[in-house]
Amino acid sequence: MAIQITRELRVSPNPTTLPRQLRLTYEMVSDKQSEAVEVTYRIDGAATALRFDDGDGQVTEVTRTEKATDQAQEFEDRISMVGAPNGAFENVEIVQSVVDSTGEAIPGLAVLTVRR
Amino acid sequence: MGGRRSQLLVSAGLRTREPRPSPVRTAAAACGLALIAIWSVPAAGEGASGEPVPCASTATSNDGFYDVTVDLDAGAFDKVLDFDRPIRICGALPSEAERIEVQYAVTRKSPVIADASRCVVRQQSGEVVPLLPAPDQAIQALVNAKGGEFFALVPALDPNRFYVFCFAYEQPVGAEEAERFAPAARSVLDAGLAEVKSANINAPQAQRIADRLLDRLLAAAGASRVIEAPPLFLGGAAAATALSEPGAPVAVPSAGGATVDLNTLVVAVLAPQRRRDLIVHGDPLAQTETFASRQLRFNNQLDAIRGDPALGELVAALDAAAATDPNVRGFLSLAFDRALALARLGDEAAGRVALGQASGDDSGDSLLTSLDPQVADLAAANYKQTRADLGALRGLLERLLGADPPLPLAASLAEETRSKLAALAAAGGPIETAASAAFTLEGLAGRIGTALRDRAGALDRLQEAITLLSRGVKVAAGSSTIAYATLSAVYVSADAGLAYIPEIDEAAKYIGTNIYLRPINKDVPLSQADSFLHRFALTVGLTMDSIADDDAAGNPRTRDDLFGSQSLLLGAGLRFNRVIRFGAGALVFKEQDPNPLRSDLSVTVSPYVTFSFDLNVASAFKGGFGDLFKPGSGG
Repeated sequence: MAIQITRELRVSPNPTTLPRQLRLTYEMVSDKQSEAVEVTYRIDGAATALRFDDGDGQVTEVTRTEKATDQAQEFEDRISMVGAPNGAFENVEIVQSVVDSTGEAIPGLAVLTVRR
Repeated sequence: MGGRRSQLLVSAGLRTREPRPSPVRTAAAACGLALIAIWSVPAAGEGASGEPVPCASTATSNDGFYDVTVDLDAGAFDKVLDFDRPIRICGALPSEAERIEVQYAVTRKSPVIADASRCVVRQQSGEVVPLLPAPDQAIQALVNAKGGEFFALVPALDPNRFYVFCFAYEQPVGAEEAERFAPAARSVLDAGLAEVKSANINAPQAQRIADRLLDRLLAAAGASRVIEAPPLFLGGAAAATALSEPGAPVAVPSAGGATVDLNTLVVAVLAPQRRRDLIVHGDPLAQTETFASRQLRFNNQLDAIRGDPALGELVAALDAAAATDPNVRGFLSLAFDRALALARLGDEAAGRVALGQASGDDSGDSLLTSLDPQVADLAAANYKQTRADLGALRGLLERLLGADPPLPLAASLAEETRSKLAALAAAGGPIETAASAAFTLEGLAGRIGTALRDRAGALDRLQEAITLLSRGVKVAAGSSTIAYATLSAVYVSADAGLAYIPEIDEAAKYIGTNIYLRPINKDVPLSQADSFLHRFALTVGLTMDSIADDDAAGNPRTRDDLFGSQSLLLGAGLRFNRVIRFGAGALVFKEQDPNPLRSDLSVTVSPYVTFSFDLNVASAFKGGFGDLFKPGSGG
């Protein structure tokens, strides 16, 4: 019915070069024994040319579904990123949104440094 | 170096010849003239013999310079400043200083020293006084490496002016300055990065922060500009790049050539800051609510529970039963006191609970505005407690409405009331929904606290790196003197000589006073300070010989003196050299009226020319009348 993020989103490897499959990890807990949640990752920043590649094309937003429990648990999503950084290095924000079963969205954030 | 800055802020106007004696107003001894006023001026040799030698390496006698020693710590010279002759300033270099430059500000009115260490001098009107000579032509002081002494040769100063001398020396930022810089740097970084609304800093934002850091570093070092430094302290695009460009590590000279990636450290501050912002302000793109919106929704949920009539009826019945039945009191106190307290909350207290504050907490600290992680931690703990209280309330209702209620009271409730209470406590009902909201708020408040702590830690690391970078930065440090005023009075001297009056073909000795239209430094020869006003003076004098053409009986035939046996000279003169003066003007005396029918004398004038010697009147008074005609040793 509601969830808490108990460990912030991390992305690895960081810094990295592209293309690369990224590991996005975080920890969450629900106030229910089991709760389906929808996790969305968005590349933030209008100027960036970096994209997720989820197999269907290059996108700035990718969604995954998870099942949270009343025990804090680490979750990992693997997503490929492609594109060329804006300069020799670029810091890109990956904004996370975890939507619980009631539709309430919980934000998260990780910053990835991409090397050319 | 830092400890003395406050001393340098002292500003005062001092006279060049202080302690200035009272002007010696005296009459010329021979003629009783009351117009001669002379400032007592020490001759060049007197100063040299009567005062300590300012700097051993520069002390020479009678070489035309006016020697002064400056104490850079005190911002003062050892004596007042002279004018009309070049000044040789001597002093000791601050430790670690490598070279020194001298400039000065000159004003007509007493200036305001706005910043002694950076030599910012303002007019009384607030206008900044430019420093002389221009920065690229600043006077380079010669440094005697052995003794740490320097001496600077400054052109002759003008009279009637205020002077503030500025000494800029090149030296590295040391441990003391870096320590002073550290808290200022943290403050700049804290405020500057707080303005950045993403996890990336752009060049203009980085530029603003770098500029402020440079200002604080210069202030901490008492410096006016940077001479040699890592890019961060050089200003311009290089400084912005150091903070905003990822993957551009800079060398730390004071750390044996180790490097630091400032942008990584900056992002480490911005990332938790951005996380907090996303939680507090929401994310429109992901349609996440603001924290305040979640709090409002939670408040409404609490209101709905508190305002439920069925719950009110139950609470009233429980209160009544507890007043008379110890069993009821015992049952409630075990686990349900806080749950019932939640149901009894007033509007204001319930509002505080929704904000994450204790119901009785009216301190006003809000985790939405406070940057103290403890405020967020406390809010998280309060939300956790509220969630527990809501759970207990739901548990109480479930037990009272269950098949085997612990109290008979529940059975006495109307069926409609029981039904409403059951709906309140149902899975997914208002109480569970509110408890879930409290769960969400607890998690978010805890993450705000974590983000603030992470940001503070990252800020510490960034500040430490920047402080380390500041060590060894070469700056032009400086100190300035207090304001010194050069002499502002006109100069009056005495002379004696011969006056020739062509119209009557008479010559007479005279004594006169010469009133210069500008201050004159008698210690400075004309060859060193020469201008028309250095030579020109108005003259008022008295003849010492009578010009009367008395007959045998002692009566004037055609002319008589103006006063007794003396006549008045009014004119002007020019110094030919330091002793001799030529003059001209009008002699005022009495003349027989040309009308033979009249016998009285009338006042008349006749042109004269003079040749005279300057008198050393001060010496005359010390040495007796015989010294009156002794030439002055100067001017």
